Amino acid sequence: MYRYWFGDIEDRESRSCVRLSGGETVWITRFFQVISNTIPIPPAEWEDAAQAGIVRTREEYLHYLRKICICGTQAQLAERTQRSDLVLIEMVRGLDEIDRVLNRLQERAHDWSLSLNLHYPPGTAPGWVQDGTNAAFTRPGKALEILQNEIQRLQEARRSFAKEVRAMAEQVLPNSSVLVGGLVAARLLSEAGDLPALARMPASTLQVIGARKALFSHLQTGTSSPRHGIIFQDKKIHNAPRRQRGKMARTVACAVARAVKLDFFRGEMVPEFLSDARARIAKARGGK
Amino acid sequence: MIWAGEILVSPGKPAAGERAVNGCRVWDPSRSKLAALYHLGDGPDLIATMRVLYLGASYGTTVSHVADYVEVVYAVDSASRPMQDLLRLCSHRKNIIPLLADAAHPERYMALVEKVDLVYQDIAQRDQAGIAIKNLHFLRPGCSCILMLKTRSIDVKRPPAEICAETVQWLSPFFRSVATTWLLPYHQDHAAIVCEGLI
Repeated sequence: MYRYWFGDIEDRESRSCVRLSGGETVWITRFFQVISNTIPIPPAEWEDAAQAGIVRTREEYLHYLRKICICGTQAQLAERTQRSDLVLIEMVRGLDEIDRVLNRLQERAHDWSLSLNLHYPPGTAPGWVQDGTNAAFTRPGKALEILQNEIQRLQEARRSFAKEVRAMAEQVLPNSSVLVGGLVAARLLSEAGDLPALARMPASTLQVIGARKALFSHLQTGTSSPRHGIIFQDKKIHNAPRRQRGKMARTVACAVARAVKLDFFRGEMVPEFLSDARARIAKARGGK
Repeated sequence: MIWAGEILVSPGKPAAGERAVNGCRVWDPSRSKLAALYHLGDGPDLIATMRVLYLGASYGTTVSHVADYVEVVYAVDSASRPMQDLLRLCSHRKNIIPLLADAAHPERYMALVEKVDLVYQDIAQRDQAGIAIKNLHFLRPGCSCILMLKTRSIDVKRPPAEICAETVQWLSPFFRSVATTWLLPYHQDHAAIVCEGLI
């Protein structure tokens, strides 16, 4: 028996077809059934649908198929937009974009200020900058002021935005957020693509994810392998003495690998796990 | 294909903001690889009775032009963001059937898609030839497949010509003839592989 969107074909030769009937929900349920089909079947044939009396003409066949596919696709998309892991990814990518923009703007404002013989940020005077000595250079006009105000506003926005991201990360990634902080956990998720993919990653991947350039230069030209990727942003690693960072990165990555599995399969904080993970990390730090 | 002098057009109602010549939509070769192919060489003509399976529909720029010419386009794409735009396009056009599915798993849409006269593929994956071969399941015997080979998606280090030759070798057992057109100057490192006459 072959299942098509319009019904079941019992026998390809005689084209006997069990027709599907019912309201809209029946058709959508059917759509979801057939779109997860895993066994190859012969492509659909509109004549089968016509013979079974489901449609009269080819126009009608395409009309209904189009309608069902549009509704079904909308339902698929709706399912995806409700997934909180994907929402978190959008949020953390937005945050990182703000950071990039802020950096560029600050750099620009800095250069601009110096070219006007002002200091930047306003009020921090390095010794060699003479402020207000040359009248021709000290009138930045409105433009620079506007830019500086915008930077300030963006910095404030960034702060509240980051708070939101952290709060969301605590929901989606309750265990890993505790271990490495919400932002780092969210960035790991963003690199992985979604929560199921993140949960299936081995610790070694989590350790170097985000260090793509270094990893491929290691694999292809034999430079030394990267010790850490995104995970380096965790203070346990970047605050560690240089010699210890590789070890810390491995230990934290192992803990995170377990944490994300709990995040995905349980979806709640597991205190016993967290205290165990913390103990392991503390041991790695102490044990040189 | 319909030409207005040197300009390729498709017989559809131009939407607001679209360039039009003689009331037809201009099909820009630097935006669409298929248009580039028609400008550079000879792809198979699109005719009004054709059914097309389009893999890698993306935002639907090319899909909309193909749909202007043919009877029906089955537009497959696995990414949800472009699919939202594609759905908007589908609401204006009666002959595009959107499918949010992975072209590497054609069995997922076998219950929805019928036999077609043209398989067109434009996807950024490693295994582009393999995906095309899997989807030949939908192609009628004697009909054509156009594969827009993104050599950079397969391997950035190997020379594009080598990758292309390899892909042609994989596809040629299935067809009577396989021809390659490089899409310069419109698209860098992209080859259009036109496979005609499915055996």
